[in-house]
Amino acid sequence: MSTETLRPLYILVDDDETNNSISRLLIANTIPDAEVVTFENPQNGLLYIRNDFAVDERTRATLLLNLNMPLMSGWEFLDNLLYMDKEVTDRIDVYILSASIDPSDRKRSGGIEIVKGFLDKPLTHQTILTLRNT
Amino acid sequence: MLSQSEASLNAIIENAAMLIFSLDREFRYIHFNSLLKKSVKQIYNVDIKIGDVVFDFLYKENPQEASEWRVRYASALGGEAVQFVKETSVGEYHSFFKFHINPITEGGEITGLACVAIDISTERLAEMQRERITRDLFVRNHTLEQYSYIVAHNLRGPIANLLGIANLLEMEEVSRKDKDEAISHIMSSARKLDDVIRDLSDILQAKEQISPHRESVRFADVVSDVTMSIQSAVAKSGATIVTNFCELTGLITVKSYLHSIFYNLISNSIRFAKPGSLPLIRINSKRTAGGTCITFQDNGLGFDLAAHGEKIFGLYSRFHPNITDGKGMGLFMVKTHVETLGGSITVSSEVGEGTTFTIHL
Repeated sequence: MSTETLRPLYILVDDDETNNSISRLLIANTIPDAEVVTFENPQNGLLYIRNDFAVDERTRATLLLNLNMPLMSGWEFLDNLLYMDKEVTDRIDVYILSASIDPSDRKRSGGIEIVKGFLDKPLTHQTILTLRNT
Repeated sequence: MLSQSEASLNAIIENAAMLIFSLDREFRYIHFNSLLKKSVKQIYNVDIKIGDVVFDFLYKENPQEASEWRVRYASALGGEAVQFVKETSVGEYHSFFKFHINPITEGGEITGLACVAIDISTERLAEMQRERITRDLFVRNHTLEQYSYIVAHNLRGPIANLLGIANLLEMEEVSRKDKDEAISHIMSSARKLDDVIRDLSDILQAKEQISPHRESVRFADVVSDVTMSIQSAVAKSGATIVTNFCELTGLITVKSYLHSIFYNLISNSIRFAKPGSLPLIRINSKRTAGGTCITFQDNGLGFDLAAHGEKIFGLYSRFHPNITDGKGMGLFMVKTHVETLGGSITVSSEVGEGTTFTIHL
């Protein structure tokens, strides 16, 4: 159990199932010991972070969050995340993973402190390696 | 000398391009020019002569209009200068007259009314056309905003997926099994891309024609057309549609738009029915001061108006987490069509109670 929880954890929140599958395959083939959890409904992603991730105090995670989602936008997701304990959010590296070419999305995400970066879809092998090394 | 000036005054009155007449306190014609006589003949088919009481034919021809005139004449007899614009139509031809009614004062007493009406049809029609063009431009501009929103937010998604798949296929160390899985997603991404492009085209087409063909459409016919087209969904859900179009049976409108409005609202009510209860949809029409009002009321799931509000009419907006078959286009198209018809739509809803859409056309 103790070794398992230390595997690099990736949380993907995107309503697009295809994106999650492809990203999961890319991550798994780039970082073989990575654990990848995916959520098509952002609400379930929040529940996972609050109920599972939060209680395992040794874990760190990389969160890849889409913005344009019908049930709950990435912005609303971030609002909810900010309500959580800082101890929890400090352990998450938040990246936006979006296909949006609207410059205002990039600008807006730059103004949110817990967002470490804006990644253009698709996620690539190279991007995953770069993220791991930062 | 006097007769010469009278003759010249008469010539001025006769030749002026306006309706000119005067009435005494009992609303008898004291004087009128031939343009007025001609107009009265055209509109009411009545030949007037000096001494006739204006209300004699007016009450007979159009009692409501007669009482409107009575109010205006009364204020002028009370000493006010009254001005208003009146629309008249003879056959197909609409004209607009700006009336000025002023009291005639003799020796400090009001003895009658001097009335002048200028034909402002040209200006008024130009103004109406300007308003229509402004509205069209507004609607078109809104379409372009939606269009560019889709391009920025939705069009790249499936393309990015295809690029991601290509990236994965290029990696050497990836297993056959993973590559096969990636390949299986090519189809779904391509299909999604195709959907978005079709949606874009639908949105543009919805507003393509500035003045589409209008015809007389009966609400009952639209409801029966729609229920026919979604017959199996209606039957499967056990939905009942109760309509009351007694007060207003139909409209002169663009049939395809009205069909789309009814289609989307009825199918939404069925799709978002409350589990365990049969859908009941009530559709009513009535006349209002501003035109027509159509309401669609259901007993379905409802939604949290405070949380979603106007967003429900947005493109690709979906907010029922357990019902994922919709694309988030329906209400957007409804709003688009209502607005293209020059109308407005509002919604009220309560979770677990149902939803009511009210359309003013």
